[in-house]
Amino acid sequence: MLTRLTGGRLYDPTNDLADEVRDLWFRDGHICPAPSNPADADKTIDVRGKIVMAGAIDIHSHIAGGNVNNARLLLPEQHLAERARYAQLPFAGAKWSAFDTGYRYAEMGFTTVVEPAVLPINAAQAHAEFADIPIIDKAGLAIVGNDDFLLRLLRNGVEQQRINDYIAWLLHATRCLGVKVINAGGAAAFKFNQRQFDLDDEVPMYGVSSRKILQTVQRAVVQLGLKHPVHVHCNNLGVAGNVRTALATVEAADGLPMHLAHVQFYGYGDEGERGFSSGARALADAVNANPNITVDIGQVLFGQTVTISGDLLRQFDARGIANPKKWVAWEAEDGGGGVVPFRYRPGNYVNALQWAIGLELFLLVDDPWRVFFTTDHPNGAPFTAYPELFRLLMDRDHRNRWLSQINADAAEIALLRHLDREYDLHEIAVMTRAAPAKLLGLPDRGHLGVGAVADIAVYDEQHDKAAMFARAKLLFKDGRKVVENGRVLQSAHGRVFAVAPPFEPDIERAIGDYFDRYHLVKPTNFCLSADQLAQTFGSELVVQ
Amino acid sequence: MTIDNNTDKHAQQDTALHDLGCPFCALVCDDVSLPVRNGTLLTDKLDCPKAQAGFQLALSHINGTPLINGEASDWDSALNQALHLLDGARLPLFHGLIGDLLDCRAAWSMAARFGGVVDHQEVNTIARNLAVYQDSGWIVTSLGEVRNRADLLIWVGEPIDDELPRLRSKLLEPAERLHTDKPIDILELGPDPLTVIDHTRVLLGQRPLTEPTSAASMLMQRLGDADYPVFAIGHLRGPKAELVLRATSDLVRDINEQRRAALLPLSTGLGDIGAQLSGAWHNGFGIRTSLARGYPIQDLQHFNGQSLLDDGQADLLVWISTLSAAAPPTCEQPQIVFGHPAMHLGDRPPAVFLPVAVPGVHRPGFIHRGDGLRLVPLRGLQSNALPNTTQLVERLITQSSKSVEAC
Repeated sequence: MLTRLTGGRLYDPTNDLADEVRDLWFRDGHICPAPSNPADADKTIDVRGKIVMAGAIDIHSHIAGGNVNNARLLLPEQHLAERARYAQLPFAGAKWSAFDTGYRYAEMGFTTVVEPAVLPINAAQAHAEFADIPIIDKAGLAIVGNDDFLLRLLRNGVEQQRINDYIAWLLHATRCLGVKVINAGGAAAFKFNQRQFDLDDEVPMYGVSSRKILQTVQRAVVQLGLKHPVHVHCNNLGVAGNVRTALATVEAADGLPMHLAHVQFYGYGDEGERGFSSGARALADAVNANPNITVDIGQVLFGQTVTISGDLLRQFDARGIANPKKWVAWEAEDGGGGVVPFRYRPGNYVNALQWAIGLELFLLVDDPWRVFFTTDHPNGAPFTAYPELFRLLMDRDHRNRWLSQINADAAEIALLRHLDREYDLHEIAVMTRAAPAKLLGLPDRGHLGVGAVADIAVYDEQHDKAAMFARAKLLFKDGRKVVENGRVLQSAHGRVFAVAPPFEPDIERAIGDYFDRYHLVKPTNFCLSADQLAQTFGSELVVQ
Repeated sequence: MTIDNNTDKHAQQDTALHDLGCPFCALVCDDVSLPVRNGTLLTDKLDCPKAQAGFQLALSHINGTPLINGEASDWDSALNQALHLLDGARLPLFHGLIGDLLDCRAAWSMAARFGGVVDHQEVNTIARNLAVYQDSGWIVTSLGEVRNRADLLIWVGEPIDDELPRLRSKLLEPAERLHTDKPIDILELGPDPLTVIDHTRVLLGQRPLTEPTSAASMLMQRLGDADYPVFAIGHLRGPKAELVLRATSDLVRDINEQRRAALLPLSTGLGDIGAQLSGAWHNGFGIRTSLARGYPIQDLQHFNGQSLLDDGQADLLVWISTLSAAAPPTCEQPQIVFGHPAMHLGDRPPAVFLPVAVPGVHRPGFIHRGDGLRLVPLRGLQSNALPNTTQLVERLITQSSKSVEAC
C-alpha cells in the first residue's frame, strides 16, 4: 500500500525541513521515496495547509508498573468514569487504564512513550501493562542504584568492568532500553531509617556515597555504549535550596553524558522571606554551559494529580502534604516507592512558583535538542494536560494572563515575567520528535526521512496551540490511520524497545549464587524471556 | 480447533525440570523441581503438599471434553452455546478468576465485550484490604524484604502457615540473610489483636492509659528492640477484621515517625491479587467492577458476586477456575465454566463446561506473588489437548453479535 500525503507543511528538524511544503510518501509501515510516477499512489490524502510532523515521543511518563497501578487503586475517586468514549474500543471508558493511556496519547499525536522507572523485580508487570497499552510503542528504564548486589560490588571495590557486566545483565533481565538512577542509595538508606540523603551521604552498611553510585552507573552506561545516557532523578527532590544538588550533580557528570529528569523539581532556591525561590537561572546556565547534559522539565500545571515515585525516602517525607490525606510507601527487593496525591493550586506561593520555574527552565535553556517536554506524568500534571503546556510555551500572552492570576508574590519575583521567548513549531518538533529519538537511540523515528517508521502526525494550525495539539487531525501509526479529527479510529498493537549489551558470562554465575543465597527468586525466572512475553502477553520486543 | 500451548519439550526426555513456578498458593515459589522418568513428570518428591496436589492433579488430566448440560459435546457446539448465553445475558457475572494473569485478562476482555461484573472467589480479604488502603494508604513491605531484613515478625491474626506451606522454610527461617545472622523473632498477638494494637498505639504516643494489657507492654518492648518489625496480617475473622487492619496500619505509621516498621498484608487466595492488579490497569479500579454500561463502575459492596447471584441481578454466571478443580457455586442462573480439566461438576452440571489448560502445567503464563510485587513466570510442562482460556475467549469475542452501543 503506497500512500501519499500531499501538500502538507513539513516540520522535520532531523532532515532540516521547517515549514517546507512537500508531499510525503509511505509504503506500508515506512516512509519511502516519491515514486517516479505519482500516479502509483494507492491512496492520496490531501493535507494542504496542515502541519505534518513525525509522531511525538515522550521520554519520561509513568504509564506502567506497580507504583502506577497502586496509585490507580488508591484514588478511585479521582478517575470516576461517566461515559464510554469509544464504543468499539475496549476499556475506552476507563479513564486511567492502560488502554486509555494509549488512546489519549494517540489523540494528541504521540506514538512512543518511555516509562522511566521499572523496578527490576516488578519488570514483568510493567511489560504486562505495556502489552495492554494500545497504539503507542513503549520502552522502560530499569532502576538501579539501591540494589544490594550493586552496592556490594561497590563496597567490595570491584573493577568498573564488573559493574558494566552487571548493568548489562540487568538490562537483559528486565528488557529495558536504558538505566535510571533514583536518588541513588536513598531508598536503601531509608530502610536503615535515614531520613535525608545528599549526594555525598553514604548508604549505611555499605559505606558508599550517592555520588559514587551515580558516577559508577554513569560510566557503565557510557562504556556499554548505550545510546540513552544514565537517566537521573537527583537527591533532594522537592526540597527548597535543592538547585545546589542539581548543580553539584551536573558537575559530578564530569563531562560525560547524563540526563537529568524533571529538573523543575530541582530548580528551587531558598532565598527570600519564605525560604523558597527560583533557581532556574543558575540551573539553566549550568545546562547551557555543559553540552553533556540533557534535561526534561517535569512541568507543574495547576489542578489535582498524584505523585508517583521510586524515591521512597522523599515520598515518605512528603506524606504531610498529601491531598487528599492518604499516601502509600512501599518497600521491595532493591528499592521501593511511594504514592502521594497532591493538588497544585495557583493561589499557593510555592505551587505558583513551581509552575513558573518549570516554564523558566524551558525558556532559559537555549538548545531545544537538550530540553525535553514532560510533566513527569502524573507528578507535575497528567499527560492529558500537555495541550496547555504547548500553549504556555508558544504563547507569551497566555503566560502573562496566568501570571496575573497566580499568587501575586510568586508572580512578582518570577523570572518568567521577563521572558519573551515563544517556542515555534520547528522548536516544538525538535523537542518532541527529533531530539527524543536521538536521546533514546531510536533512529527509525522522530523524523520523516526515507526509511523512518510511518508514525506521522498531522495538525490543523490554529492560533490556540492548546486546541491544535489536543487533537491531531490525523495520526498514522506504522502507516495505518489510527486517529482522525482527534478521535481514535482503530486500535493497534505497539512494540516495546529494549537493548541487549553483551556481558561476561561469569557475572551470571555470581548473580546466580547471590540469588540462591538471598532471593526468593531464581535468576532464570528473574530474567524475562522475550519468547514468553510474546506467547503470553503478545509483546513484540524490538532489541535495538 | 488447533491447540498449541507452547509446552516445554524437556518433559519428553529423561531428565528433570528445574526452577518451575508453582501457582498453587500465594507464595508462588519458583524453585520447584520435577524429575522425569520414562517421559513422565514425577511429583511424589515434592515437599509442599499444595504443590504436590496441584501438579499431580493437572499432570494427570491432559485431555478434556466440552460439555453442554453435562453431555459430551464438540468444541464448536459448546462455544456456540456459550456465545448464545453471553450474547443473550443482561448482566453476566465473571467470577471465580482462580487462575493466572492470562485468565484474568480474558475475564476482563469478556466483561468489556459482553458488559458485566467481575469478582473473585476469594475477594473478601482483598476487598477488606482495599477499603483500608483507599481510605488512608499504608506502609507495606514485600516477602523478600521480610526474608532478608525483618528482625521481628508480628502475626496479627492467626498465622497462615496452613495456606502457605513453605512460608516458614523460605521466609522465616532462611539459611542466610542480608546484613544480619540473627533469625527473625516471631510474635503472635493472640485472639484479641485489636486491644493489643490500640493499647500499643497509646503507649507509643506516650498518652495515659489506665491499664495497658501485658501483651501491649510486651509488644512495646519488642518493638523497641527491633530495627525493622513487620506486622504480618494473618487470618482475621469476624466483624472486626477491617478495624484490626486499620489499627495495625495506623500503628505502623506511628512507629515510622521515629523508627522503621512495615505492614505485610498477604493474599491467600489463588490469583486474587492478580485479579485485583490486572483489573486496576484494565479498568482503573480492580475487582467488584461493572462494565455493563460500557465504562467501569466499582462498588465493593454492591458488586459482590455472590450477592448478585443470590438476589438475581446477575442472569449468567461465567466461572473461571483453572487452578482449582473445586466445583463452582450452585446457583439458579445458567453457568458457563472455564474450568480445570479435573473439575468436579456436582449434581447440577453447568450449561456449558469448557475444560481449559492449567497455567504452569499445560501452558505458560504469569501469576502474581501474594505481595503483589512480582509476576512469576509459569512454564508449560506437558503436551496436552487443552485449549487455554484466552484462545476460547478471543473466539467468543470475535464471533459475538451483541451490539456495541455508542454513548
